[in-house]
Amino acid sequence: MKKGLGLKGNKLWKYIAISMGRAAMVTLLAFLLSFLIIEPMSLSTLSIFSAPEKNDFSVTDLYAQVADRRPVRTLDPDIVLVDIGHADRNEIASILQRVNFWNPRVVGIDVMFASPGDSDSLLLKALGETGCLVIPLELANAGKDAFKVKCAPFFYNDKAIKATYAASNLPSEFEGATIREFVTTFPLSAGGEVESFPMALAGAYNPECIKALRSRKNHLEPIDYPSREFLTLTPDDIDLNGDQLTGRLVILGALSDADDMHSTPINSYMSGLSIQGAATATILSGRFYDPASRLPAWLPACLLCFLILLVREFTHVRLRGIITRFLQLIIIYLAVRIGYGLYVDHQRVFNFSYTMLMAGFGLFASDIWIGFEYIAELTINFFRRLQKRRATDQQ
Amino acid sequence: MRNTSRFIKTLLTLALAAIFLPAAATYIVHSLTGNVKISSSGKVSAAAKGDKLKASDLLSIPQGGSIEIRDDSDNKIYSSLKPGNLSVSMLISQSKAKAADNSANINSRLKFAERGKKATPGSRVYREKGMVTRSLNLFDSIASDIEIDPDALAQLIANTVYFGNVNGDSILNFSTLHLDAEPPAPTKPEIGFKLNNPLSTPVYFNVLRFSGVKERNADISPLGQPGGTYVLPAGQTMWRTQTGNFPYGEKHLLIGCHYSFDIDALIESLKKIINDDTLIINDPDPTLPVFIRMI
Repeated sequence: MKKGLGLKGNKLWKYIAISMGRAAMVTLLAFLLSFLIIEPMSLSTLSIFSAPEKNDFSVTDLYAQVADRRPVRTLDPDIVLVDIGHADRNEIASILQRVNFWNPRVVGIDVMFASPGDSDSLLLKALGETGCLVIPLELANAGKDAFKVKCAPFFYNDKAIKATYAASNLPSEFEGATIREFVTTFPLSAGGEVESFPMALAGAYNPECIKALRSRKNHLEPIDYPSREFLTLTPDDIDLNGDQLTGRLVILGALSDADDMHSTPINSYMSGLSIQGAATATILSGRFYDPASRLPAWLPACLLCFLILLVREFTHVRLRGIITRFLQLIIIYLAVRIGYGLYVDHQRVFNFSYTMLMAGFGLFASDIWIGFEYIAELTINFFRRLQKRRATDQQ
Repeated sequence: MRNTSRFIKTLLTLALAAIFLPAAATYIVHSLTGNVKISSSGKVSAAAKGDKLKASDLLSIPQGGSIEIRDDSDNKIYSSLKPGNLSVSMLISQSKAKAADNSANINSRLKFAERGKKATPGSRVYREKGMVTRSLNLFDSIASDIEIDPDALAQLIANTVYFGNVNGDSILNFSTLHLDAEPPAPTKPEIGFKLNNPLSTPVYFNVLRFSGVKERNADISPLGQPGGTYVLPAGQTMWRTQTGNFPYGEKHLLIGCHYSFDIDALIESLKKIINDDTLIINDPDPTLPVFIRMI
């Protein structure tokens, strides 16, 4: 029987206070253990979801995957992708001329024309005839938080081509890792900044949406991947469905070029063109995700851990195991469920890894606490016996 | 007075109808798999991508089939959830309800699914679908769920190999490589092939080896190892050679189709056909677009 059950009055209150105090202390211990493991050792319970060779998983990946499998999606109303496949420069010129015929509002070309070819006259002519054009630049790191232009198209200084040049670099935590975010602007080591390709495209298409993005003052913004689809045309489709291009933002690029395929939260093999499209659509739709700060993520984790420990304190010793284990499972499930709801309905990112960790570490810390209590008890008893023996010897 | 009020009501109704009539949603078939039928105003027809639909139209979705409907007014795309008969408006309302059910969506991700079949003791299951399915989804989402009947394909191949009826459907550009050894070497040191797909759709292929005279045998050629069905995307060319000792009596056949085929089931069916003299081989389906070439 639990020893507190027979108590009354002050003794009961004292028992409750001691139990709550112990639960609070164990919660603190669990917090310290979790913090120690997550921060200096960079370990997270989320690594269990990750491929071992990549160790690259974020809580938003799970939410994005679930959200993307919903049976309702949206065909983006603003953006059309044109898959140029393996077209050469003359073919790209021809495609661009056919695209221009349908008067798109903005044209982006997700292709790097690094050096001049044998015959670029057609391409230069088509580029010169394009009204609102965005062309990519390739940047390289130049020290901390600064970049330099690594590669620019060969017609960069050609005044006949009135294009906005923007950086097409896609950010990830390490080489080959999942692309979850896009960059807003890249600060240059030489001074000034370069807009990212999606930001330049969105800004050219709808300058108003850039104001909202700039007001957030973030260098990186999560890409809203789930449940989004783009009208995708092949060069052969342009003549048949060209009216779909009129007044819209058209991005030309390759959808199946092995060199430009990347891992994303919803797809392990997505083309750079689709990623640029999704990032641009995120800006145009204004669906920005706000990561919850660290305090709110830790706070419910600590409270729930305290709850589990409190239940453990006041439960019969033979029911304690089953109740706390089920409680742990329920709390972890609810954390995932609530996190998903916040993600899809409110664009808030709630990192449930802290809750999972604390729910697990609560009982671990409790076992450590009990162990230390026993060791402390033994040590005190040992010194008491020692004192007693000395006192006896002195007598 | 009453007449005036009735007149105003009628006028208002007409005005509202005039506002909403042009704004009535148009639904379009966005994509589909399988033989989905549409029943509209008493007429039944096979659904096709781009077909316009009304909210009251009835859809008949077969087992293994699916359909996606786009609402032209807001660009939302609704996917069917299961086979059966239902109206367009019902499909949309079911999809909306499923998409909005966050608990069900999370549960579907966390559920404990049934494990796949295990290999029987002493045998091996050669996993091939992961590779093929991904390619199919990437290159040919329409054909990703379709497979050729292995028995029909086996009859066609057996007819070609043992009865000399070479299939005349030359859908692919193809050349072979044979390096002959100095006589009297009984084997070829290298064989290979080059395959070009000039079509606008992917082609699924593999190479089979036929050997043995008394006891005929069929298996995957070293050129087709490790196994499964390979995909050659539209407009691409591939080249493969294999060195080793290849007896002159062996036949290596390249099998190419518009759809995927189960290589294990095909070999099983082939072995049955080529070793059973009593088995009557039906005339192969002449419409089956299969490309067979000897390497």
